[in-house]
Amino acid sequence: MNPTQAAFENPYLDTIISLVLVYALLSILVSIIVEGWNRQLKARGVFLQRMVFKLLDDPVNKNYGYRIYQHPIISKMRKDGNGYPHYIPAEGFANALIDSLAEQAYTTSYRAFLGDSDVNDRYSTNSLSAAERAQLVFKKVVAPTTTGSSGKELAPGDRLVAGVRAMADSELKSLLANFIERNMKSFKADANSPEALRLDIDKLKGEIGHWFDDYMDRCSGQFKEQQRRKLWIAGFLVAITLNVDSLHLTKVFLLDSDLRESMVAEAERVADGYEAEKQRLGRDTLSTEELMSVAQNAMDSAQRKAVLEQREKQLEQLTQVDSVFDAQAEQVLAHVRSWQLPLGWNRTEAPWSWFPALGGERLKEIPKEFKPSQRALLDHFRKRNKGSFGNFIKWMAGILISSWSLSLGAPFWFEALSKLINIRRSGPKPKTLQERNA
Amino acid sequence: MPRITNIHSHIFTGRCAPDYFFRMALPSWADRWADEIKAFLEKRWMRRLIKFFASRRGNSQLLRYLQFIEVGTQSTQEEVFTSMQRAYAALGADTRFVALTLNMDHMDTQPSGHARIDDQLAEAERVRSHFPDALFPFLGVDPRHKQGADLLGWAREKIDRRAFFGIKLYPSIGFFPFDPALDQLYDWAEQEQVPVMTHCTRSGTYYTGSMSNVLPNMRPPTLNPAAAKQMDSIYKRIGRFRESDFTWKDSKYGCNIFLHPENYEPVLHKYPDLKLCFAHFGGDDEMLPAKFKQPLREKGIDATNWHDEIKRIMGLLDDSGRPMYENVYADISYTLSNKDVYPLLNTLMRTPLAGRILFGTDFFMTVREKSEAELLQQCTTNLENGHFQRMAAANTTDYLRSRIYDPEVPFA
Ligand SMILES: [Zn+2]
Repeated sequence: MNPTQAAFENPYLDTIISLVLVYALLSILVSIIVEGWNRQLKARGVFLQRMVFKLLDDPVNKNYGYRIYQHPIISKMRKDGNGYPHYIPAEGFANALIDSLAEQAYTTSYRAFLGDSDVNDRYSTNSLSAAERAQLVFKKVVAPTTTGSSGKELAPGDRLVAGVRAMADSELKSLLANFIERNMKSFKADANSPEALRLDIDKLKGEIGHWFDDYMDRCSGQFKEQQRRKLWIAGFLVAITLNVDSLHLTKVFLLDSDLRESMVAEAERVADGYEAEKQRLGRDTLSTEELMSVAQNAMDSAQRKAVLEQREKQLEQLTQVDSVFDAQAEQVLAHVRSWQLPLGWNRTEAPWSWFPALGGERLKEIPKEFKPSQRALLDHFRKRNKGSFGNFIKWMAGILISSWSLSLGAPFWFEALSKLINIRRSGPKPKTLQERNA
Repeated sequence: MPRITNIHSHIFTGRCAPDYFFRMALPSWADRWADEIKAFLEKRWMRRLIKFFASRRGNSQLLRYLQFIEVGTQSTQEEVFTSMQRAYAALGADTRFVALTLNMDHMDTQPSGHARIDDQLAEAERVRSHFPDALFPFLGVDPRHKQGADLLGWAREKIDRRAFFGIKLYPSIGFFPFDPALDQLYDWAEQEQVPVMTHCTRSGTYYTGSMSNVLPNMRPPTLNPAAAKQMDSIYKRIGRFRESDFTWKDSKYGCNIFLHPENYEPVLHKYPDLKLCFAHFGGDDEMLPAKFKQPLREKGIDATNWHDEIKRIMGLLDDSGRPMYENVYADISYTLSNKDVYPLLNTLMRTPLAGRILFGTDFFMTVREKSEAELLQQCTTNLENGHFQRMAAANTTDYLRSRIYDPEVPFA
């Protein structure tokens, strides 16, 4: 872009765009940290388990959630000993629940036997001879829990009905009873026998599966709520380790038109790449990885080769939780470094510059790279370099604003960036030289 | 060779412990992060680190929780059980294990999403069905869960069909063993000779809410007002406890009042034939005078030595010089992890009490001291002339025998 032309553009809008671009890039870092955190702590699995326990906790009976997690269908889904599955398919849930309920149709007891005959009643009344006693064995006997249901083996549907009937009255019991009632169908054993009602167990499974899916949908909002806290912490970590002072950045963008222009040019490429990717994938939201490749592709390849700077090692250490994580974070950092923004910890910049005892340095002379037109910028740096209470408050406010902004997440900032670029393009076109002279 | 029984072990998992059980070890600001911190603790290296610091600072509550996590998180009850069983291969494959379930539902008034007592029992029962002749669970009982005939009906249903074999009390969770709600249960247990096991040391898991919830006045109701002398002594101690700022403010001192051996005297006075075992024999610190450092004693709230108290109750004689409570036992679980107690145990095994001292280890509470195999090794080598056999085979068989279960009869 032509510098004379840019001078007449809206510096405020361009400053906002520059800032939003910084937020978009750094919030990818925040997303990476939070995702790594979740992965490490199995947050999703723990959350899912908690929600299933909550759904199926029946204080007067049992916590059927606990039983479901012991069911082989679910317990086999554990990756290692102490993990929880991240996801439970609706069908698996329905099967495990039905089994856990049906289990209650039977009670296991151990009764005294002499050979094949059950002598438990004689054992209880102590009417066995010494010789008989010496021959005794306790054997496992499985019998229906509810009296009245005769016969040893019940059909799966009947077993479930009996299992639910064996429960003490509770909210969950009425819910389950409703499920069962709705899924009874009449059937005939043969043409001559009378019609009877029997449970359509496949239909019931479907209904329980739906019920579970609906519930999990409602829970996902709660999970996001939980994540917000983590995003805020990760935002703060990024802001403090990279020394991202939003107030300072704003000021620099306002004062430094060259930097602003290069940022806006980059922002346009990123926004275009973002819209193109959305179109290509046919989705409105992109994953962290996808957002990262958008940023990557928009980057100037010469800039990408920017030299790594020592001072940003701190953040890398923070992110060295696993290798994927590490590599991702490194890419984002390389990108940010290539802009040469006033970020990071540096002897000649606040807040380090406030502490000469710790090696902080004030600007002693005007660095050569400052042109006379950049006096105001230099002046800003000089003022900020002085340790004072006012400067500290400003710096802290800048960090907090950055933390909060970064915690809004990469998807939000990419969307905002795209909207701002649209506004910029639809706004009054920069006047040409002739128009201005007219 | 007669069968060995470990009369005192635990197989419940961390999922059975309430959420607040963990939170109470945390400062209040960390409350919202309980999930994350819990997940961190599930990492072995993290636990090692914390254990190191916690043991230096003497944070026993946290250490206890770490054990739960150690055994609990990576396992089902079946996995915990089989890991214990493995250590006994050398003693013979037919070793019996009494697993004490624990009702942790009333440890506080805070809500918690843990597996409650019925879930814990159902799981234990299922493990038992896989090892019917090896695993003998006891029923964790709490008078706040069910009372009187209701409690008895609930317990009988499980014990009558030989899914459970005895009753476990853990009073420091917030009740007195002389609670009238337990009356019918004791009556039946005495009649049927069903064994009762109770925790008896000055430390352990405790009620974490405000003491005033579980100790609203100086005179908690009793199932045996006729034992006026015994109750009077108990009430006096409760009074001293309530009046002391030192004990009243911190609920961890509740153990000293709820677990006191004297609390069982009104019960035994009413049910002299009750089969009752004082777990841990009062604790190794009570058995070794060198460790005599109880702050409560210094403050005059309770000056008795619990180990001596238990021996006194076991040895009480009636007017005609006959033993009063012949069915009172003590086990050496946890205590046996301290090498220094063995001379005393060997001496005790030469007294008339020798037939009522039981072998048990308190797995998995002991994992932080020693592995189960090491404990076993230490115990069998330090106990002299067949004392181990007597404690672990003959005595435990006597204790386990009831009208419902005869230990001589095998499970098919
Ligand atoms: Zn124990």
